[in-house]
This record gives sequence, C-alpha cells and structure tokens, in this order.
Amino acid sequence: MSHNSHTPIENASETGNEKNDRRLAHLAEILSHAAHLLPAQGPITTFVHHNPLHLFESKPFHEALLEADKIFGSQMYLSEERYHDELKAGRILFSDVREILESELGSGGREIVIGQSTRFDIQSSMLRNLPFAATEKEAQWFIANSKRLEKIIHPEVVANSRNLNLVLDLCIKGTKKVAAKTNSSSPARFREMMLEVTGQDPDLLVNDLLFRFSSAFLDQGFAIWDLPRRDSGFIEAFRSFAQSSRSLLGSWARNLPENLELLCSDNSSPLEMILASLEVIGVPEENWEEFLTQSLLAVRGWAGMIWQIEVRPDKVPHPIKPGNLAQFLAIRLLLDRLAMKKIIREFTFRKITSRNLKDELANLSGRSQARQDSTALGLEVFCVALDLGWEKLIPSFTHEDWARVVSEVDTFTQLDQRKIFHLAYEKYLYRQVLDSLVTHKPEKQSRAFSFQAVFCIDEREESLRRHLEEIDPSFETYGAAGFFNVPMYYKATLDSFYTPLCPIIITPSNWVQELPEDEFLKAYQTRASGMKTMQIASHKLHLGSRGGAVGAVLSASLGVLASIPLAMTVLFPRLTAKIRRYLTPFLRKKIETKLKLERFAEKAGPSGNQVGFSLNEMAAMGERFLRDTGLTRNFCRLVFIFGHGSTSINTPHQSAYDCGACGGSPGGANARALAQILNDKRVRSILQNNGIIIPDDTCFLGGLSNTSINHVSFFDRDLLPATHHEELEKARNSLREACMRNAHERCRRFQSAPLDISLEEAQRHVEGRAEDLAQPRPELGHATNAFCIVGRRERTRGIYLDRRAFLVSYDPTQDNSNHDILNRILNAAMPVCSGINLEFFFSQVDPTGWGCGTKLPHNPTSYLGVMDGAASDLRTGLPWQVVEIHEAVRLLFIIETTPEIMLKILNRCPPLANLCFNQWINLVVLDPDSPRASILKGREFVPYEFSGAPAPVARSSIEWYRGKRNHLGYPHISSLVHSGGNP
Amino acid sequence: MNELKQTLDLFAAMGIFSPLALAIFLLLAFVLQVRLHEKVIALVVQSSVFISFAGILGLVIMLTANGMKKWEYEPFPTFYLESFHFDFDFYFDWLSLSFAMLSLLLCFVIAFFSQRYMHREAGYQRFFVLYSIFVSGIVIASLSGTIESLFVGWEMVGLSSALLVAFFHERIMPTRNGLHLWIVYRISDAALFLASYLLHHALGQGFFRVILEQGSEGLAHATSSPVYVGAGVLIFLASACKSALFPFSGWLPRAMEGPTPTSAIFYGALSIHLGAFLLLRLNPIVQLSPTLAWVVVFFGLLTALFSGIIANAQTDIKSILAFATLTQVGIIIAEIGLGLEMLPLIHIIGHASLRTYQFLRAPSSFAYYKSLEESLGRTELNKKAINSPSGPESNVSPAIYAFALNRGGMDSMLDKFIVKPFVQSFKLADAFEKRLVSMLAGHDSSNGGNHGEGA
Repeated sequence: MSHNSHTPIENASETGNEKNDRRLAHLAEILSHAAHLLPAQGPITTFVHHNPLHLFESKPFHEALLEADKIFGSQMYLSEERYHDELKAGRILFSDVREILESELGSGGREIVIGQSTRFDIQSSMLRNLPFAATEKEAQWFIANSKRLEKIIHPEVVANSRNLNLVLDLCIKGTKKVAAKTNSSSPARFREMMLEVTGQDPDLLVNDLLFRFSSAFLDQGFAIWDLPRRDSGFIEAFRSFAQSSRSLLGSWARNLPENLELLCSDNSSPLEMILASLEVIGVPEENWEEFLTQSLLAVRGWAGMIWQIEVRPDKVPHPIKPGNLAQFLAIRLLLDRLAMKKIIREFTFRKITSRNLKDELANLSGRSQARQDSTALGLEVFCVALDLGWEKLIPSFTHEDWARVVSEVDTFTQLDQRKIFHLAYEKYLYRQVLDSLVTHKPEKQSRAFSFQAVFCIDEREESLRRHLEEIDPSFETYGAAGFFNVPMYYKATLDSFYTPLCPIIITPSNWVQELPEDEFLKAYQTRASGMKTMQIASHKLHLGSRGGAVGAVLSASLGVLASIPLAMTVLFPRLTAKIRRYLTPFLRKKIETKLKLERFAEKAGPSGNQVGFSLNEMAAMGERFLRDTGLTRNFCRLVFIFGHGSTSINTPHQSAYDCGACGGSPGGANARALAQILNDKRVRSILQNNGIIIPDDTCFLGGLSNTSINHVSFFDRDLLPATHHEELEKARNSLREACMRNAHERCRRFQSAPLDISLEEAQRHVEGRAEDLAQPRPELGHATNAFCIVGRRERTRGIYLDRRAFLVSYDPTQDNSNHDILNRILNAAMPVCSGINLEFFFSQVDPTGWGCGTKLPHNPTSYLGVMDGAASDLRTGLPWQVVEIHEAVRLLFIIETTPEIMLKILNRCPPLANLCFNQWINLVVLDPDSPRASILKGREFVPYEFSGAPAPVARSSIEWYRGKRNHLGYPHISSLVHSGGNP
Repeated sequence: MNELKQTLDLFAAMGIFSPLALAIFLLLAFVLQVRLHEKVIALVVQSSVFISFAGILGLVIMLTANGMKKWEYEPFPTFYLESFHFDFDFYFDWLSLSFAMLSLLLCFVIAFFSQRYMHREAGYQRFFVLYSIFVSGIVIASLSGTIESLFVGWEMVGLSSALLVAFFHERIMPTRNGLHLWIVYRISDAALFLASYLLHHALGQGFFRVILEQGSEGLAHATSSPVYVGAGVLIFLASACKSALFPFSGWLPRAMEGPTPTSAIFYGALSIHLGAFLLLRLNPIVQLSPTLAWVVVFFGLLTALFSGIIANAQTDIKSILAFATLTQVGIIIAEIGLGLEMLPLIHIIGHASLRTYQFLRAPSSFAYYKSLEESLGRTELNKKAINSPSGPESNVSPAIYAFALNRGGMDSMLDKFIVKPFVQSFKLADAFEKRLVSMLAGHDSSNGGNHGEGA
C-alpha cells in the first residue's frame, strides 16, 4: 500500500477551516467529474442512443480507449480470439494488418532489434500468432504441459527446431531476469483485495440493501407505496428507513442506525460525510479521485440514473432534487465501511472500530499475494523467437539483448494489437463500400419521375427505398432526419401530455396538438372519458389481482379465464392479433383527427391559441426542409413524407427501435405536420417569393413507415384531391410490394425464418414477430449500421447497401458559398448517427460491460430500466439480442463535397472536429463532379486509391441476398445503374 | 372390464412416462454432449408434453364415460424391504387429475413460449433438459398414489427449480440464490422423508388410497393417531417450505433469476402451488388434529397478510408478482386448513393461470405504464391518485414501510438461521477434508491447493 508513504503537500499557514474548505471543494470537483462518467441513459421508455465514452470525445479514439480501459473495466475492442476468427474467415486480411502496422510504426518499424529482425518483424509476428496464455496461471499450465506446445505452434516451425524445450527454457529464464518489476498497482477500492484475501465480497452485502433502497427511492410508479420522506433527499429518506428497520437488516448492518446518526449528528453536508468515510477507510487525498470514481462506477446503473433524473427532472413523472448523487455516495461509503468491518472481524476475530479500520485494511492488503510473474511474457517471447528463427541466436543473447527483446515484446500491449486488428477489420469493410461508390455511374439522362418519397435517414429505410426504386424506377427517394425539420412538443388526441418530437439536442419552442375533427368531437369525448374510466378500472383490476381479498375472489373466479389469452397469444400469436384487429372496429369507431398546427396567439405555449406555429415559422421550416434535402424543383404531382416507428410487444427496449431523430418516439406526426405545412397555399406563396416554386397540382402526403411489421400508412388521405386518387393507388401498390420485399430482405437476418422463405411468408413472418409475446427480437434495430452517406441520391441509387447506410439527401450544387446547408445537416446527423453507431459498437464489443447482457432475465424496475434477475444494478446499454449480428466498426461518413469545404466546416464546428479529427467517426469526401474520393488522415485528406476490383453486379437485390445470412458486399443493381466498370 | 383396464393403463402410462422418457432422452444427450438442433429439441418437448396431456385427458374422458371416480395404476411390482414395502403407484382422482392437467397445460404453453424466447441462447439445450425434469417431476408428484412416488417427483421438481434459478451461472447472484433455494428445499425434502417414514410406520405402506378412503374419522379411530399427527406436522413443514409460507418466504423473490418463462412456471404457477397440493392431497391427516388444522389456517393467513403488506413497497415487476402470488398461496393454504376441498383446487387453477399470464407479460410493464401515463397524465399517474385513493404517501408509517421494503426481514433471518449454518458446516467439512488430503499426501497445506489446481 502506498498510502503511508505520501501525504498531501500542505501549506503550513493553512488553517484547519481553510483546509477543510479546500478539501470539500476538491471533493465536489471529483464528484462532478465522476458523474459524467456514469451511463447517460435516462428512463428506458424514451431510449436515446449515446456514445458511452462521450466524455472522451475530445481525445483521439485509441488514446481515449486506453484511458477508459483503466477506468471502466470493460472491453474496448473485440477479443484477440475474435479477430483471429475473422482473420481465418477472410473478413480481416493479413496484408491489411501488415500495411496498417507499417504505417503506424513509421520509420521506427525498420529499426533492427536483434539479429535480422526489425521491430516490424516482431510486432507482425506477435499479431500473426494467437497468444495461448492470457494469464499467468494459463502460462504455467502450458509450461507444465510442454508437450502441448507442439499442438499449438505451426507444425513446420516445430519440425525445424528440435530442441523446443531448451529454447522455451531459455526464453522463460531470460525474460525473468530482465522483466521490469512493475509494481502491481493495487486497485483503488479495497473490495478486490478483500475478496482475494478473505473470500468475502463486501459489495454483495452492500448492494443487496443499496439496490433495493435506490430503486424505491427512484420509483416512478411501479410500487404502490411511496418511500417515506423521499422528497427530503436520499440521506434523510435512508435515515428514516434505517431507523425503522433495525431488526430487519442483516447482522452486518446491525449498527447502521447508530453510525448514521453519528454521521448526521453535526448537520454535516453529504460531502463532509464522504470526507469522514474517506478518513475512516484511510484513503490518501491523491487517491480520492480514483477511489470515489470507482465507488460510483461499481454501481454505475443506479448512480447514473440518480444523476440523470437530477439533471433532467422533466423526463420523469416523479422527479428528485439536485444533490442526491453526493448523498447516494455518502450512504454507499458508510455501508462499505460497515461491510468491511464485518468481514475483517470475521476474518481476524478482532474488534474492528472506525478508529482501527484503516490499519486493519492496510494489514489485510499486506497479505494480498497479487505478485507479478513474467511467465506469460516469456511464453510470448518464445513464440516470437520461434517465428523469427532465433533458435540459434538465443543461447548467445547477452543481458542487454534480453532486455531489448523483452521490452519490445512487452510494450506492444494487447490493446495495441487489438487496435491494429480493428483498423484492418474496418479497412476491409470501408474498401468494399468505397470501391462500389467510386465505380458507380449515375444514370445518364435524368429521368422524369412521377413520385417523390422522403424517408428518414435511418439505415433501416435504405432497403425500402432501394426496393421501391427497383419496383418502380419512376420513384425518386430522399432521406432527411426523421423529425423533418419540425421540432415540436406533440400531444395526440388521447394523450394527456406533450412529448418532444425532435433530436435530443434541440429543445422545441412550439406545441402541436392532434384534435378530433368537428363531426367526431362527441365521439371523441365519449371515447376519452371512456378510455380514462377503462384505464383506471383495468388498472384497479390489475392492482386488485395483486392484492389479498380482491385477488382471491378474482383469481378463484375469473383467473382461469386468463388461460385463454395466455394460450392464444403464445400458441397462435398471429391469429390472436388478427382477431384483435378484426374486433377493434366493432369496439371503437375510427375517429378522424386533424393537427392544430397554426398559432393565432403571439407567444407559443401549450394550450389554447398558443398551440402551433405562426405562418412565417411554418414557411421557414418548410423552406429549410426543402433546401436541406435539395428537393426544390421538378416537383412531382405526389410527394410522400414518411416518418417511422416500430411496434412490438413485451419489449422493454422498444423505444430504441423508434426514430432517433424524434428522441426515441415514432415520427409520424412530424411527417404529417410537414405535409400539412407544404400543402398550405399561403406557405407556398411565401416559398415562391423565396424562389421555390411548388406547382399547384403537387400534393404532399404524410405517412408512417413501421419498421417492425413493414407497413406504411398515410395521414389525412381524405384531404387529397380526387384528381390524385388514381396515382395514389398506383403508388400504394408499389409501396406495398416494396414493403413486402423489404420484409423479405430483413428475414435473411433472422435464423428462425427459413432462407427460402417466399415474399408473402416473409411479410407474415415479420408481422408475427412483432405480435409475439415470446419474441425477444421483434426487430434488430440499428444493428449492422456502418456508413452514413450524405449526398445526392443519384450517387447511391442502384447500389445495394445491405441496410447498413444512413442516407442523407444533400445537393452540393444547391448549397451557398458559405456551405450553410451542409453545415446544418452535419451538425444534426453526425452526433445522432455516431451516437447510435458507438452505442452499438461498445455494446457489441462487451455485451455485459457496455450493453445490458441477455434480455431473458431482465426485470423491469421502478418504471425506469431493467435489472438482471431478482436484484442487480440497473442495466444500461443495448441487449445482446439486438447487437448480436452487429459488426463493431466506427461509422464511415461519406460526404459529397470537396476536401477544402469539409475542412472549412470542421474548423468552424468544434464538436464535429472532435468527432472527425479524433476518429470517433471516419470521414471520406466524394467529389461532386467526379467519382473520386478522398479520405481523412490526421487533419488532411488524401486521395482514396481504388483497389481495382470492380464492384459486383446483380440483377436485383433479391438475386444478390437470396439464400445468404452473412454480411454481403455492395453490388450495383443493373436495372438502376448505367453500367459497372472502372472509373 | 379387462379391455377397459388396458385402455386406462395405457392412457396413464402415456401421461406419466412420456415426460419421463423426454427427460431421460434430453439428459442423456446433454451428458453425452450431443448438441441437438433447437428445432429438434422443441419438437420432442412439445410432442412429449402433448402426448402426456392427451393421455391424461383420455383418462378423464374414459373415467367419466364409465362413471368411475378414480383409477389406480401400478406400473411396477412392489418392492419389499423387511416388513416395509415400497410402491411406486399412481392414483387418479378429481384432485390429481385436475392438478396434472393444469400443470401439463401450462407446461405446454411454456414450451412454446420458451422455444422462441430462448432462441440462440447459449443454454438452450440445458434449459430444456431442466424443463423436462421439472415437467416429469410435477406429473409424477401430482399423480402419485404413494408417498414414495410423490417423494421422487418432489425431488425432481426441487432439483430442477434450483438449477433453473442458477441458470445464468456466469453471474454470482443466480448461483447464490439457487443455492439458497436449494437449501430451503432440502428442509422440505427432509420433512417429507420423515413424514413418509412415519406413515409407513403407522400403515406399513404409503398408499394415499388408504388414507383417503378412511378419511379423518377413519384414521382417528386407528391406534396410531399420534403418529399421524406427527406426520401431519411434517407434511405441513414440507409444504410450507415448498410454498414459501411464513417464515420461509425469503427465498421466493430471490428465485426470480432465471429466464422469464421459468419464473412464470416455477414460482407463478406450479412449483409454489405444489406445497398446497400436497397439503390438499393429505388433508385427512392434517384434519385429524384440529389444532394442526388451525395452525395451518394461521400460517396461511399470516403469510397472506405479510406478503400483502410487503407487496406494496416492491418496485420491480417480478418481486411485485412474487408477493402477489404468495398472498394468494397463503389464502389457499388457509382454505385447505379449514378443510375445504373444491374451493382450494379452483383457486389454485385460476390463480396459476392468471399468474403465468402476468409473469410472461412482465416485460410489457413499461408499455402498460406508458399507456396509462399517456392517457391519465403524469400528475394522475402519480400513485397517490390512482393506486391508493385513500390519501397521500405519508399515510404509510415508516415502520410498516421499512418492514415491507425489507421483506419482513425474512430473508436475512433465513440466511442467518438456515442457509449460513448449512453452508458453513459444508465449508468446515471441506476445509477438514482438504487438510486431511494434504496431510495424507504429505504436502504442507499452503501448497496443496495450488498444486491441485495446476494438475
């Protein structure tokens, strides 16, 4: 332990009070920093995708990962085994690995280390061979069973060196002599040490109580009773709870009430209580940060949720006041102390008090046997030696030779190796898509389109757009962030409060209501009050079934009826859904609604005339949308705007499937609002003055695309003039067919859908998934996302992008000299898309560390999130079922612009510069006038070199993916492109 | 008549041996490390449960058609041990048939559910091995005609339940909680074992038929009625452990570790009712002593009361449902204590169906509360308004709240008085054995462990 040897440098003139103030300020600073390391996931009902390492975005990717590796204890890259599997499968090419290694090493790679071997030789040899001992124990096992070595090392190497064991022996001994005696830094918290020495885990004791109490403290409505004194803060509530539960707690917490009183007695603040605990445990000031950070990260789910609710009280029905995170930590440290005392007491049979706890802890640490051994390192040296043919040299190695060799091997750490693999893993994928893009030739003559359809940029809509264009090439499609530039608080007819429908970074300043049409007003009122009564009644029934007397009557009389929906929904999910759909019209009449979109009051607000947008605001939003997407001329008679959402049952993470650009809600209302705005004659005349002429016979129609059952529906169809009905019918047929093909393409990713499934069966299959109580994968969400292409659709039209690309429409020829449009687009798209991508990246890299593990034992808690099983930390991130088929690669942004413009924009926006220059996303620009591409390296663009292999050509999407489950290449669909061939 | 007997025996054999064959088949495949395809497993599981259900249903129809009230099936010859003889016979009457049909129906539904729910999970095959052991256990236990065969089924249910709780064994909590459950179940098993010993002692055999036909009055006239009372107490103890009655309730919320369908079937529906079923089956013995009967009523009501209070403070869906379940089980036990027969059975059937449904829908609770929140508004969702119309939160006294949130302290009590001593005695034995081994092997004890690991 190091804490005896250092004392913080103290200013001799500092008085006690000043010292205390300084220390408290230091604590506050540590705490606010630690809070930002906690998971940023809010209540699960509005799931927003985040980069879990958001705080590190100001640092280069790999450096950030190295730093985070020390803090979080989760995996940062895929495992070496996994990369080696990909190497075997041909998904990583060793030639790429070598190339990347060479460029990473630069001139240093050519430095001779020993004999003929350069640093590059050593490192590439280490990458080639999978280390067969990750830990000391494993290494020792291998040595003890040295016969096994022959089975693992390449047979030809073994054949060449007869005295394998002698070489091994020399390597182990040589390494042992020179291996740096690194002080195994003892972990900041004492828990690991105690677990090792005593076999008891203090966290198990503490967590049981802490999790239960935290979930009661944060509960948003699951429990019937509220926690007494909840509103007075975590400490007060806990104090009242502890006093009342003296005899109910485990023996370790028997003295909790007294300790708590002692701690609270002199009106100390939470920070002072933390300080007191730090002193009792004996943490020196220079270790505070690590100790406290780790103490919070050990319960990151609950701690993070407290912090989230503290800073965003508007997101929950039952908010808490700021300052609770510090209180939570104060209680946690007190519980830690009690648990430690108990374990040490049982281990040493000595009386442990607050006074001697730190000495006892130090004693215990002395017994910890965490010694470092160099056997594993020796084995690694041995492998390199064999690989590079050093057998003859080794007996004559001097001490210096050994030191050089061992330090070479030792400094090329596991994370460095995985980084090289990771880059090669990405490079392969990027090359495939870039080759396809630079060889893609847009159709020669510009076609006269008969329909235009705008979809969300979501990569799940890519396939729908592609199929639509394949079915009817007269469809022109666009992609725009799914809130369609209409940021609003929205309240549907039967809702009782407003939900923000826009990206999480925007705060809407307008409110929009859905109202029943006048002739349905009465029906609506009956429905609304009926619904309310029904909801309350059914909730009471539900609560009753949980209670005693009512529950007895209910379960004995009606309980058996529950077996009917039970058996029906499980055995025949689709039939049940059909029956329900069939019955619904009988039970409730459809109520036609309209949007209250126009505001008459001066100021915007949530009620009465304040609801809505002013005419000028509407025109401005409409114009911006049209200019951003480049849809400013050649309007067709029918223009569709599709928001998207997802329906499924029994899915706690359902909101993660909805539209990210609408803050985790479905985006249908935004599409509907935009269509209504652009159909407005007055808006059109304002637009005309600004140079956008929308012909009178152009009609906009809003719709919703359901990504789980692959259906599209329309809003306000009755407002469409009769002149357009025939065209609508034609378009609907194409859309229906496209949805079916889209469902079919999705099915290839579902193991439970046979590969030879027909189109109709595929449609039924995806519908069945969404209606199935037992289905943990109603859809796969954003899994496999890898690219984001910002540019004109002609640059990508006819390329099969395998549902992996976000597609943002942007026309560089229409941008102004200041590039405001691109700037706007990227400011929205880059953070949102990279947030989604990095959340998937990390959840896939470590499904239980960054993700929330398998869904199967998940237990909904406190109306906030899920726990694993009976009681656990709140689990954040994505479930394994969703990320299972994802490839952990960073998003490749491909933007149709020039390098100069791109650099100008990046230099103008520090957040984007952070993302790009620090490589949280990879960036390529595609020249607007030629098929050339340039790739961002460091802070400048270098031309992308076409690999020479022409992109494959397929007659149709179906022909290309049919019968395959794995990730595919990016061929040109021959019916939609001019022709393949080299640029 | 002989033909009828053959048909009835055939149906009975279908009902009992189909799940047993399944369990043996899956267990063998598992032990021999034969990886079966998911679809193959699902198919054999579903068809075997279906055959079993069809057999029981056929039996019910045949019995009703022929105006018979009960049927006995003796697949094995009696096994003699000195003056005792052991019979593995099965007894079909209104009670055992209803419980078996309920079990098979729910298991059938769960099999379909799990086939899709567990898709691509690493432990898919292991799950169905345990599932099949559970199904055969519950069928044997419910249809058994002697206390010996009941014991066999009882053990199978206990073992598979504990292993299913520990299903996700890569985390520490499931394994700890599985062990916790297993220890409580051992008490239950020991009590049942002793009870069967006493019954054999009194009757020279373990046939339920004898007990049921004589009824309480008949047994009361027998000379060995004190022995019956002792057996009754033990049977109550066994079922109290199995049904998580006070003071053994602590294991129930801890058992919510496995995949969702297992929580549904084991704690929501079947396993938890098995204790009640045992008590109902052997009710004549319980009713023999009015005092014991009142004790049963008392503990039933106490359990219902406590879990009713505890449920109010629970914040996670599975614990909420666990204590809601327990409330009803307590009431059912009380009904049995009152000597009722039909009501408890109906109550069990209704309650099991309801809870299975609620457990399986547990992941939907966010959607449910969201729709509630959307249509009622946040202020009204604020539980004060709809959950307890009586008034605001402060009405709950901190003491009662603490009692509820701490689950009555039953968990720490169980831990302290039962689990800890149990585990510690094993640990002591383990340490002793290690020391003995290393002494015999001539190593000093500190190296002994390491060496063992290295080899």
